[in-house]
Amino acid sequence: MYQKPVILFETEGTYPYSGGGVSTWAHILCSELEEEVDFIILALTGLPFVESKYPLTSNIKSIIHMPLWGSEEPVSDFSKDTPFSEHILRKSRTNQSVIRTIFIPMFRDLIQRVLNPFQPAGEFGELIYGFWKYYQIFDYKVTLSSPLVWIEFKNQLRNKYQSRHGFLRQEEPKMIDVTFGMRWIYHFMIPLAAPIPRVSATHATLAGFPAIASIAAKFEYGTPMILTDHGIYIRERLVNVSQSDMSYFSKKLLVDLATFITRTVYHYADIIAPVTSVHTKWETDFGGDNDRINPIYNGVDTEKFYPHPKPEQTRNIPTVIAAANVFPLKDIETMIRSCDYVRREIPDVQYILYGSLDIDKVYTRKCMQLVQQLKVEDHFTFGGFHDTPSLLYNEGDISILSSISEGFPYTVIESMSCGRPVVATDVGGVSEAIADCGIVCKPRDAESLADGVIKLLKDRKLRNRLGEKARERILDNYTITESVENYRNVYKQMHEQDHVPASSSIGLDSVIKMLSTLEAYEASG
Amino acid sequence: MKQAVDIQHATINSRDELKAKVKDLLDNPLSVWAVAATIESLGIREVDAQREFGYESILDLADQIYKDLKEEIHQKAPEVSVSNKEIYKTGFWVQIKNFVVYYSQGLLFSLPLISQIAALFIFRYSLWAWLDFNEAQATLVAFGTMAAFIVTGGFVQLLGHSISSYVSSGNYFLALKSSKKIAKSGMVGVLAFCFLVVLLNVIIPFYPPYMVFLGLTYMILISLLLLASGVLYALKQRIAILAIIVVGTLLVIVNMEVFHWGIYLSQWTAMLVTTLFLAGYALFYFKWQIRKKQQKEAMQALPVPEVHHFISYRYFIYGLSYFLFIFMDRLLAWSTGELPPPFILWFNTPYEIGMDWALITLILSFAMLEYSVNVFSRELKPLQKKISFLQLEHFNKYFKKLYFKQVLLLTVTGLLSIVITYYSVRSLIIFQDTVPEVRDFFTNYMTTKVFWIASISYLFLNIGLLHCLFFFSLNKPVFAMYSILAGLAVNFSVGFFCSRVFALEYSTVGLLAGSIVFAVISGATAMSLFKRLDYYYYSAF
Repeated sequence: MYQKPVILFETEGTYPYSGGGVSTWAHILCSELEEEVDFIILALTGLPFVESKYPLTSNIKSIIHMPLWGSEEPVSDFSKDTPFSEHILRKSRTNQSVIRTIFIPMFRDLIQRVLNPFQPAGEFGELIYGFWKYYQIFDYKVTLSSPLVWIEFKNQLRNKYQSRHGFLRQEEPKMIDVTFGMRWIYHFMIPLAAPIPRVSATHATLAGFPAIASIAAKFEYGTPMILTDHGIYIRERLVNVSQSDMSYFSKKLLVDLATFITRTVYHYADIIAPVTSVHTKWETDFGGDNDRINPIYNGVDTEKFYPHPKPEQTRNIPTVIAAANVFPLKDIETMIRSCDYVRREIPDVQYILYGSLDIDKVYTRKCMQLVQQLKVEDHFTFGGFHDTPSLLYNEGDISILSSISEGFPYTVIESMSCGRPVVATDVGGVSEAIADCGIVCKPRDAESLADGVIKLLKDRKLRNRLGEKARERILDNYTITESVENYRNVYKQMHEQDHVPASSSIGLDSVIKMLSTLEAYEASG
Repeated sequence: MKQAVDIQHATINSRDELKAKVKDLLDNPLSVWAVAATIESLGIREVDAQREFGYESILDLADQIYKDLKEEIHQKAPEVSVSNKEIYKTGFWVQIKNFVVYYSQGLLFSLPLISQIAALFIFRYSLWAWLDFNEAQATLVAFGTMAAFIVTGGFVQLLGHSISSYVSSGNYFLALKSSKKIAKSGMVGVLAFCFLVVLLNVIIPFYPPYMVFLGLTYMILISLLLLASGVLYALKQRIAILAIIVVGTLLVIVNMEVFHWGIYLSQWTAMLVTTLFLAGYALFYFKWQIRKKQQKEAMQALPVPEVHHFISYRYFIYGLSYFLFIFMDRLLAWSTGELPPPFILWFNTPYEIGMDWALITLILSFAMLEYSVNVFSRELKPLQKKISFLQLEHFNKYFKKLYFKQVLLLTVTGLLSIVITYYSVRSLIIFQDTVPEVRDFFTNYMTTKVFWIASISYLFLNIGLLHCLFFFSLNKPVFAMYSILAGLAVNFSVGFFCSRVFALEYSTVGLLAGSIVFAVISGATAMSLFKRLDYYYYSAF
């Protein structure tokens, strides 16, 4: 075993390839523990072509980058230590007989459970492990593109929908739904084919697909697992997928897949560490036990984020700063509407929004159009990405956050650390962070958000008092030292504890049969 | 697309109002959880659920709204199901329009070839042909041409696959990168072939050195031209190809008539300039698209060589085998005869004219391939969207029928094309007293025999090609590869036997037998593919 803890750190669409709150947190964690903990990053991204947005510290020993889309031979992208000739060998041994006898029974169990994801989650983990073991010997793509797999998938759906009992016509799948449904399973389950290193602990940064590696490691090596819930993955999937314009069946399949994976992760995580206690309810509802839930709050570097006077360009202008990437969960439209209300009371008010405009270009365009429609162009500025976040809060008098979903947002605690009080929507851990040091409003309520802004901008004394209190609150409760210390202790404890593989307790017939066949297969060379 | 909530009126005060908002966002809710998450996203907190709505929790409130919405949906009149006839119906005028558009595009594909034939007849020159070549010259040019097509065949097929798959995902940067890489490999392949030929000719002197030099020069220049035009074909820049080829051909004429450079220098210069124009245009087009799409170039890399080769080797083998198949009969015919040829391979004018005559029949039927494959691709996804999964069998049956229709259409077009081509060329007989070449043409019986056998072979070859296009569009190159390999083996063995036992022109019987085998094997595969099209469409990733 290693001298110091080595952590398999699992991300999806964030660190180190994208900016944002989760990446900020991840970067702080990795760099603060540079001397004490080594990391192997397992990063899921949409497409293969990405580059790190952060300078990688020396304790990041390797990155297993897994693009879910855009690769004809996906396994070759992340399984770089295995020569491709070995993959070709795997392809050649993945014949229809193997698929029929050992893969299909597990696949049948999987689909039955995905279509009804509120069955016991313990079995879900066994299946995930079973598939992972299978893909260490047989080829991922050849298996899932087999006609046998397609026929089984169709059979399962036919069983469910043929009777038409309890289903509306609009809820029945079209052919394209079934085609894409099976392709989604192919893409989302790609982490099943990853080689998983033996490490001190695995750390999933969301209860989603990258945590597949944690579950497999728990069964194979007994590796303990910690999960940090920044937002609630399943809740965000429910909102995004349900409100999309896909067919009913496709939406249901995506949500069921997310439910399947979230419940498995909550079931198997040794420690569930939400960034705010507010998340606890969703976590317990989806299978996390209270005794395993232990919030670890985000922390801010108070030496970097400290109060100093406004710069020349905003000195005499009442300025509201927002640090948020422009996409729907941030509800920038409500922020813009609040600006419209505020400028009627404070005619020289300036809102400056710093954050990427590229994440959802359609939404960004919509926001820009709203600025024009409300004629607030002279009051609302899209500042784009700011490379020195420690400077931006001090440009303003106060900060604003209009999100409809959050974890424990950095923008709030960083602004507080700079002595700038925050007007924010009451979502996630926002009210827990702000307490009585700012103003908390109802989400999607532009008027009450505006009232909060007006109140603080007009009352300098109140503003200064809240700013000072905010800084004190951060120093007392939410420093990096505090946050990192918690993780350091967890990693250390997991590093030192005995690792007992969970594979001995498997009870699902299809997985047991597959494992014994695999053993016989390996023994026969 | 659902309408976003009007935030100005987003403060929700009653359950009915909340239900309406949820319905607006979710329509038919997936679950209580989906409703609960949506309620939260509308800004309702646990405290609001209790104080403003009188429920213990958001989940209780969600449960009630979910039940209400489901009840409303079930009470609504059931949706009128669309009849199968309606689903599969394509309007008559739409069909006509599709035919005109795709068939014209298909014709455009053959226009560079037509331009070469026209130039040859009007000016006596084309980019690499000349009516006044003697047999020795014709032999070396034919050798260069065949070698160029065969050696670059695999690479051109690779270019087509690689560029179109990157372009279909909008990635012009990698499309350019892969084009450069494949073109470079193609050039290495061409040079390696030249080296082998020279080496072989040193060991066993088949031809005098000057013939080898001339033949290989033609081969290199034609290869470069084929590689460059292969890039533009994959980019669907057919008009640009035509324009550049026409300019190149005019340059031959200018070189000959104005500068009097002699045929070799005239054609070589023109081919080089044409290639440069084609490559320059391709480069410009790529750069323009990359700039237009503002593609980030960082980190974009092609798969490592072994993965790249694994993904594409079937395309390469298919391309190589296809052109070997096309030229196999000539290679067999020109290496035998009652009087042994002066060199190992010797151009036979009546034979080649018969083959060229048959080639003209392809113009009309080739265009039909474009139509058929487009009709197939255009209908596939829309029908998948319309047809219920429970009616999957109808879907497969419909496409099987569509497939038979396309084969029938192609056969009829092919037969018509043969008849039209035959009589059009026969009508030139009126010039036999004035034009000596026409007289020679009609007095040689071999030419007509070769024409008939080859044109019927091309009909079967075209049917095989149609199948292969279906295979490629479903990402199953392996089916195309095996079909053409089987056809090639039969083409060679039957052609060899017939040309050696009966007469040289019977190498076309090999072409015919190979084409039939190609069409039949690919046809049997296509039928089983259409029987389970739902599976093949799924697994086309």
